[in-house]
Amino acid sequence: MTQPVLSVRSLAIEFTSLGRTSRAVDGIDLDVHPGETVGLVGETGCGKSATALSILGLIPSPPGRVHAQTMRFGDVELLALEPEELRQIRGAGISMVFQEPMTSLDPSFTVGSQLAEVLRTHRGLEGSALRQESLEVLARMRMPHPERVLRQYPFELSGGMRQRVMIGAAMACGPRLLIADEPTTALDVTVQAQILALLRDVQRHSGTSVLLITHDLGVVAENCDRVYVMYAGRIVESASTRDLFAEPLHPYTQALLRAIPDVSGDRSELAVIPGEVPSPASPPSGCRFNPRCARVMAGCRQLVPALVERRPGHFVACHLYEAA
Amino acid sequence: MSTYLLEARSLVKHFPVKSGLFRSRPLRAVDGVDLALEPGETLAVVGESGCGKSTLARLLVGLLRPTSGDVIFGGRSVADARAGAARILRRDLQIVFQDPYGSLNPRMTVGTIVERPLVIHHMGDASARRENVAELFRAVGLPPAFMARYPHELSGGQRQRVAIARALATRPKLVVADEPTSGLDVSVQAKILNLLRSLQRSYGLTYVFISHDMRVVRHMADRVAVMYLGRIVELTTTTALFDAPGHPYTRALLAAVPQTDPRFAGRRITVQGDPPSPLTPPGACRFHPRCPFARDICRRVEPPLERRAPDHEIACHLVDEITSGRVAADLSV
Repeated sequence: MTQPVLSVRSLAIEFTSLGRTSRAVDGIDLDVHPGETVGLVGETGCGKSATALSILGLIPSPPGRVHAQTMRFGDVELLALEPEELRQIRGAGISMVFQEPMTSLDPSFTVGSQLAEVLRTHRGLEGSALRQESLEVLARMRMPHPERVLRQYPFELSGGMRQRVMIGAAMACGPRLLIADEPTTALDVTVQAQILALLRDVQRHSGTSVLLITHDLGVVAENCDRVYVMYAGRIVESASTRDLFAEPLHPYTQALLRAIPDVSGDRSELAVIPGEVPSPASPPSGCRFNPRCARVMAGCRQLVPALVERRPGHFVACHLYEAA
Repeated sequence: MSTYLLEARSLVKHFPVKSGLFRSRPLRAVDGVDLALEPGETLAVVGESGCGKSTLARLLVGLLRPTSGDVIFGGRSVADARAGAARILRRDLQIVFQDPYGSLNPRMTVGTIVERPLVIHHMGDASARRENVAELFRAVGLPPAFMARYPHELSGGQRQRVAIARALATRPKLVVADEPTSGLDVSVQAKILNLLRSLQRSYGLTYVFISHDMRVVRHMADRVAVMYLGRIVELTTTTALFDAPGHPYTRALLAAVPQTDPRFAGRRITVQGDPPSPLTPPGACRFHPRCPFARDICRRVEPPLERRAPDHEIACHLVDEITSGRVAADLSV
C-alpha cells in the first residue's frame, strides 16, 4: 500500500464564542491517496469546509481550536510546523480553490500580477521566463486569449474564467494535493460542466490528488473515486463512489439521495428528512442523526456508533449494521 | 375571450446601463417574450444567469413596467393598471423570491410580515387577520407559535415557508416562484418543493416556476420555457423537453446536469464558453457562438420561435437536421 498524500486521524475543530464552545468537527479520520479524487460531501454546517481549512492551517485561533492525533502530509506532520514552514507548503505542496473566485482574487491587481506573485514566490521565476510561464498556466486552463487575460482585472472576467485563473494559479507549482471547496457552486451548470471536466483533465495529467468538497451528490458521482459523507461534524459513511451510490448504507445517505428530484421523470412526492440539522453547540447524544432517522432504535440515543468496515472498503457508522 | 389566466405579449424590458459620461446603452434583459398560462398549470422558466428569467418574473407580477409589450391578466393590462386596479391585480399576482432572508424585514416578527398584505388590502379586522395568519402558518407547516419570532431566529427553510405564507395571504390566483429553493440544501429543498405542490392542489394555484435546476424543473413543471439571453428558445411540455429536446442549448443544459448514477458519469457533449453578456448579445441566433452545430445561416438570420409539433415550439434553423442526425456537432467550437 502506498503512503497516503494526506492522512488525518481524530480531527476535532472547536469554536468558542461568548463563552460557549461548539464542536464543528468531532473526531474524523480522512485519507487521500496519490492520484485520487476524494469527495467530502454534506449539507450546510456539517463541518466540511472547516475540515478543509484546518488542513491548510487556516482556522483562525481564537475563536477556533484544532486538535488531531495526526495530520500528515506525506512525511510531514502539519500540526508541528511553524507558521513560516506551513506557508511554504501552502501553494507549493497543498493548494486550494474556493467557491467564489471573485473574493479570492484581489480586485485591484491584474490577473498577470497575481499569477506572477505565485510563480515568483514558489518557483523563483523572473522576467521573460515568468511571463512565459504565466501564459502557459492560462493556456493549460484552455483560456482563450491568454495575452489579453494577463492584462485584465478580475471583474473583467466571467465567473467561469475567474475559476480557471484560480485553478491555474493553484496548479502552477505542481502541488501534490489540491483542495477544492465547492469550486463550481456559484457557476451555471454548463460552465460547471466545463470546469469539472477541466479539473479532471488537469488532474489526470499532473497526478495531483484532489479533495473535492461539495454539497452536490451529482458532482461527487461524476468526479470522485471515493467519498466521505459528513453529518453534524462526523463522518457517517465512506466508500468508493460506485459502492456508495449502488448501495448506500447509512440512513442519512439513503435519505439524502432520495431527496434529490429525479431526472428520469418520477414525480411522486419527494422523500424528506424530518426536522433540521442540529446546532453544533448542542448536538444530540448518541448517534447525531437519531432524532431525524426513520430507523432509529433505543441504543441510538445513547451510544455513538463507530465507523466500521461492513464490506471491503465500505465504512458506515450506524447501529443497524452491528446486529447483522 | 381567451381562456388563459395570464398572457405575456411581445414583452420587452431594457435597462439603460451607463457606458460613458453622457451615453448609455440598453441591457436587453427580456427581448421579445410571448407566453400564455392555463389556469392550474405550472410553467417553468429555465435558463442560466443573465438570461432574463428574474426580470421576466417581475414583469409578470407587475413589479417592473415593460419597455414595450404587455402582460394581460383577466382581460386587464398589468403594466397599465393604476391605483385601485393595480391593487386588485397585486392581490391575485404574488411572488416568492430566492433569498428569503433578503425579502423578509428583519425588524418585524414573521407574524406581522405575513399579516402585512392583509392590512394593505383591507382584508378582515385585527382578530380575523390574526386567525387568518395562524391558518396560513399551519398551511405552510409552521407552528402558529412561530408568529412571534423574527426572521433571524428561523432556518433558511423556515424563512422560505414564511415567504410562501405571505404570498398566499391574499389568496392569489398566480404565484411566481423565483428560484425558491436555490440557496437551500437538498433535504430542505425537498420539503419546500413538496409543500409548493400540495399548496397548489389545495389553493388551486397557477405557478410560474423560475429555476436554473433541470432536476427541480422536471419534478415541478407541466410545461417549460427555456430562455437564453432574453428570448425563449424552446417551449414545450416537460415530458417532451426531457425526452426529445430540440434546441441545442436545451440539449446542453440537460447534458450538464450532474447525474447521481455514476454509470452515466462524465464524457458527454458540453458547450464551450460562458453565456455572453446581455449588453452585447451576439447577432442572429444568440446561441451561435457556443453552438456545436452552428452553420452560416445561424450567424446571419435570427431563427423565430416556430411550432414543430403540437405543444412544441423551437427557435433553431437546424433543428430538423440535428434531430435526424444529418448535421454533426463541431466539438472544436
